[in-house]
Amino acid sequence: MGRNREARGRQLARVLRGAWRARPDAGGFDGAGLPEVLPLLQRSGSAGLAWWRARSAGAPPPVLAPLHDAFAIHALAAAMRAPQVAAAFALLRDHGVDALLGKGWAVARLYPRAGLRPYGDIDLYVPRTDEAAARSALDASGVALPVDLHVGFAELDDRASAELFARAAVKRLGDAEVRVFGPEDHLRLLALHMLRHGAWRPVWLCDLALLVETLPPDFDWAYFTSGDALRTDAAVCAIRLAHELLGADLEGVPGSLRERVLPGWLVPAVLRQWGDGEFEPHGTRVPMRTELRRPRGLPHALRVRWPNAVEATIGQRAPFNDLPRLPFQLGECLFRTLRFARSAPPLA
Amino acid sequence: MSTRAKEVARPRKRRDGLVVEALPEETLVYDLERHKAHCLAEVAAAVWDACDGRRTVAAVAARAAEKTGRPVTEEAAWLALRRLGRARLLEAPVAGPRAGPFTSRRDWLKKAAMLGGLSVASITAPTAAEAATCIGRTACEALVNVDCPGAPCCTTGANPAPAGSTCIKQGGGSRCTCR
Repeated sequence: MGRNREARGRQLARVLRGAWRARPDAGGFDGAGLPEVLPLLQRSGSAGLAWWRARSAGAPPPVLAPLHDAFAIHALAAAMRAPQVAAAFALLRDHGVDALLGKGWAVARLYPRAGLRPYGDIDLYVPRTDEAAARSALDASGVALPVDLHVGFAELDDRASAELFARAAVKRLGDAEVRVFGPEDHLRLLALHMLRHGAWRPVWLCDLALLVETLPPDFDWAYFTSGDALRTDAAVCAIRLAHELLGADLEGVPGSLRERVLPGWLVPAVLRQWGDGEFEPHGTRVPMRTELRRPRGLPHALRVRWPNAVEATIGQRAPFNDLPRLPFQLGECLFRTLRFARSAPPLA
Repeated sequence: MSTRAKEVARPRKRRDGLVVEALPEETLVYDLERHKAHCLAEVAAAVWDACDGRRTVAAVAARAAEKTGRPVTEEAAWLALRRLGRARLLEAPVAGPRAGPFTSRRDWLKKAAMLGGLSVASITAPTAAEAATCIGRTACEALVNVDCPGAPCCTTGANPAPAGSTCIKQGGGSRCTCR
């Protein structure tokens, strides 16, 4: 079963190889194997990129049609979402709050076409001191914007807030101005965020591939690798993973980072995750406190919450080395159970 | 000529309640009222764009030909208008000419087969793009507002949510909602 998942994951990786480029390389594209991984591409939001690659490889219309439909839906969703990004920034600015945008539109804008990289919510990051003002600004509008407000800087909290803002870039979005993380911070954020979620979405790895292939000439690798050493090593592993699985060109990456040897478990773990058709990502699961009211569904609830080796490594702040991952996975389970027990109110 | 016939002779594109994304080879349209997505091929998009309510069908065809650099006959424009009308992308549907050498549907289709770029394809399964990463509207609305996942809501199924909506906390409410 694990082997099947890994094989499907590998097939999916072959489909997405180079798919983020303006002109993806047609070489090695296997249209025959595409139907088998189509549901995986669709559910992980990677079907638009698969369409882009398949189209450039001259795949026949029956292969392209379902992928194109997904791309079209993503492109329209992006057209609807973009004004909301601008509106959220305008609201915050009106209330004197400076925010940084990460993931979502901030990376989707770099792809050759809108819709190739879908995104759902608007990830805004504000300093802890601005939390109340930001919430009040977003609530005051009376319009429900799909904002995921991050208080603090999540995976970048080993950097000073002032530094993050100083390195931020202002990008135009229609008539509005949107402040996004600087390239070094964004690459690090995307890498660590992907690993924290077990790298389950292939499109996250495409993000890294795209970023490392389009680095600005003044990209500051010394700054990128500064901060928490464990996080830096994890982010470097993620970049290396983009090369191993998707063929990202690491020419612009310093040799010392490019030559990082990945632990033997990492590639198979990610491929198994990509090939898992039963996976229920965080955010779509029924909350655990609801599951506890119907014990028959509990085994399933626990199974879908079993952390893969990647998220357990990040969750347990373990190094990316060749030691077995099972202890970290068990530790992560225990940690989550304790956290849930502390936070959950008593069952009615 | 009746009033209706006059309207039909000068078609006008619908503007309200649509999200339009123009791409190099196609135009994508989302109907916010009917929650349907359409993909207009190059010529159909040019015909649609030319429908300003003042141009005759012949003028629409000429404008589309000018814009695409491809020959667009009046028959082709009529066929595209018929398809656009069916997709509810015109202010009023077009009935087509009552008589003439190209009035039969078979004739139209035969001519259309020779001309590319006229398709107006409806995308009927948006779940294809969001399956498993979306949360059903019913499931979303069953969650208490501290558990709202912020995930996209499914736009199909028994209780479809508005396109582009996400499962989020509603101001002042105790439950999540798809907005």
